[in-house]
Amino acid sequence: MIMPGNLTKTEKTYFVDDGAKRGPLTMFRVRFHPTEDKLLALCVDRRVACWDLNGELQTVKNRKEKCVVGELLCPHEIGWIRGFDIHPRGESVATGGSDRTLRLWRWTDGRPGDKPLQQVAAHDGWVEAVVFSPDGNTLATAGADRSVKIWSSSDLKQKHSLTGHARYAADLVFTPDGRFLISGGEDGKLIVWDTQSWQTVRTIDFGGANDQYGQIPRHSGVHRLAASHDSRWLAAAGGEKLDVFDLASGELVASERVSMDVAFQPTGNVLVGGESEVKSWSYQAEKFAPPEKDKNGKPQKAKSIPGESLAAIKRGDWSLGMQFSSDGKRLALGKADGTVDLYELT
Amino acid sequence: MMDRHSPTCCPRSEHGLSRRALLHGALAGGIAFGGFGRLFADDHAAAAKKNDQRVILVFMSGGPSQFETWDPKPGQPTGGPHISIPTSIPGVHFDEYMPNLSRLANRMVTVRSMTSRNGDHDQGGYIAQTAYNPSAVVVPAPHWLSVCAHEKPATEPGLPSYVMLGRDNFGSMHVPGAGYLGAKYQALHCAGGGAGPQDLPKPSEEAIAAFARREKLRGSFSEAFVAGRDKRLVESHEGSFAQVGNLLRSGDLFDIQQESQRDFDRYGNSQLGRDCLLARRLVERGVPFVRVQHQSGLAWDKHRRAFQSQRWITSEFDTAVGALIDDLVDRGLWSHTLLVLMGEFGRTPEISGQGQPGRNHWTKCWSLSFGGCGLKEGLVIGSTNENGTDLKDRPVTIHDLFCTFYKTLDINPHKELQFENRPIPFVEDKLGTPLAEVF
Repeated sequence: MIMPGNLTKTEKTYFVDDGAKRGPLTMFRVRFHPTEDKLLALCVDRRVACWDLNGELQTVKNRKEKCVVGELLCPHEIGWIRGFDIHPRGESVATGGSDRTLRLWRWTDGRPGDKPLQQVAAHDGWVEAVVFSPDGNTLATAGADRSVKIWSSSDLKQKHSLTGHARYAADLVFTPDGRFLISGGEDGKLIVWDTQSWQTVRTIDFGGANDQYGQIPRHSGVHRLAASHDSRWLAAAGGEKLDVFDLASGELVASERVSMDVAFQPTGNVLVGGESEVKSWSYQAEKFAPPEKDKNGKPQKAKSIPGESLAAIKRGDWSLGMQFSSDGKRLALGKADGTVDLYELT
Repeated sequence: MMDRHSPTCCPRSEHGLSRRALLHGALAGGIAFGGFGRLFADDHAAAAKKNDQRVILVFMSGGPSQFETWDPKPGQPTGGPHISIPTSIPGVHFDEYMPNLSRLANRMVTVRSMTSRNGDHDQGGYIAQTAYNPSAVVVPAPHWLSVCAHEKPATEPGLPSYVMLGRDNFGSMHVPGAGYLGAKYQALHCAGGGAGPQDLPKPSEEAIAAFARREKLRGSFSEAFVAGRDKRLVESHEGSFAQVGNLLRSGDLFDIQQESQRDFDRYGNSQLGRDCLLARRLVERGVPFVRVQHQSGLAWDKHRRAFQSQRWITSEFDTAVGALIDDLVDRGLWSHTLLVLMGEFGRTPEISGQGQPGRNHWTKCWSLSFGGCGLKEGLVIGSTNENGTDLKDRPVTIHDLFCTFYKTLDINPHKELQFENRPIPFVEDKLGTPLAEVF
């Protein structure tokens, strides 16, 4: 299936700031609420930014354009929230922070509650990533203690602790069919976990790590992960590349020189990736293929993503956070200036 | 005819280099400003009196963030993602990635109210290591450890007085040389990562004999070179060659492979860990002054995406320096070794950086730590306000700091040396006063 089209910016920009003198709230991760017109984002703060997608445009000090102004919710007392996710039916929001806690916030009256429903000390170190399973029953977290933990999403009881990364996992993703959880680490490894047994199915070498690890953020393995709507393809973004792997075999099937961020459209064959410049492709899945091998059996350079390139979007340096809405028609792109832009896939 | 590759005959290029080295040393050492003729009024024999005080300076080039080291502000908008942990001083918290330095806070003096004016790396580094603004004198000011080497040279013959471990690849001013003191007080450079001086042959009778043969030949050339010139011009140059000979005879001084696996483990698997281990080895063997560079370049200069990388450098630093303090204490060296942990300035409360999120340069209020050498322990001097945006009390200047360091070493910080008939005090314009609290 090919979905031709283009990405067009909507007229609204979503902005958040609390007036504190400390610089703009750089976006880090973004999520659409699955059932309501709400957009949430992590923004280098101890709280989560929340906007009404239909909110009124307001004049904002020191900004030329009017913006929809968001609220900062789900407060942790100290540190920054590093990972968060919204329940697939929109019933709750889970947040994990550098304060080591995992917190569950009930979604009521169009927003997360003021106080957490549940709260646990999740990791011995920063909580780096939080993700709900597709059925909503399970939460997975990754911590700076290098472990991946599996929790019951109703009561935050820990069910499993998974080890395998030599450094922390920066991101997690469940395949939409719920069969696999993939963790991507600062060690440059992708680990595919079976969600029935919680055993390692395979480890994929993404690379991109160096001996100084986080000293050079661009050279610190895997930053973001995404799984395709049909659970066949895994995309991983690192400091200098975006790789696509066949989940069934673990083989590299395409690679592009875009970095740091990636998202699959949940309803079709569109893939977006990139930091300051976002590139997007309407990909031809049947043409994903491993690199050719030379006469000695050595794999050659990986192929580009097959299909049609859509419009490239410049969103500014140091910008992170990208996700499609659940209907696949809208794309949210976080920026480093305290804003999120919304694009429509036409 | 002598084989040109014979080990007993050095190629012409070495002599060419020695002349260049002479000129280089002259520029660094002050010949260009009028010569060494009237420089030292002091009696150096007296200066070489018994002296068992040591200094290890671990320099955190780039400007370490006070928020992510000694003055965290968790929960404040300026606090960043790092949280804090309690230290061995009740009510005092350090960064979460400094568990060892938190444990050892009761050994150290922590200054949270450093204040300075120059936010340029090159100039800030110069001021923070010489006690002089770059434009304050017409001659280059010496590194304060060169001053120490001048005042308190190694007592054991053959040992270098001042060794620098690791290179800083930033600007030429960032790591000041011996300035007007001359090449004799320049640091002996080691490449870093636990390595000794570059290209120094393994000590052996053969190496010493080969060196002696080269020296004899080189000496004859130098004699010819000096003829008709001021002999004092080449004295410090000759001293450098003499030091090479001394190093050859110093045996395993720089061989950290002699250290135990336990020590390697506790100092951490990093260049800094190995350099801190070597620093301890050197001061234990009698080298009085050692500067350790934490990573080449401006490793602590976290403008861009600061917080992902900050934790690794803080952790590496904490592991290595924590082990160094433990080791100095364990070996009875702590009571006469001054350990200084500092960079050239601090970082902004704002976290906009040059690539968000990050912190820019900040001189208004920043932190550092020092301890040992008989100073009072477990002190926290000065404080900043709730957000870390301003000093709250007890401002401490660079000049105050150097007065404190020199006083700790029984060196008069306002002592003057004569250069070109000008009196030059160790601390610029005799500014600053020692921190009375630490004595």
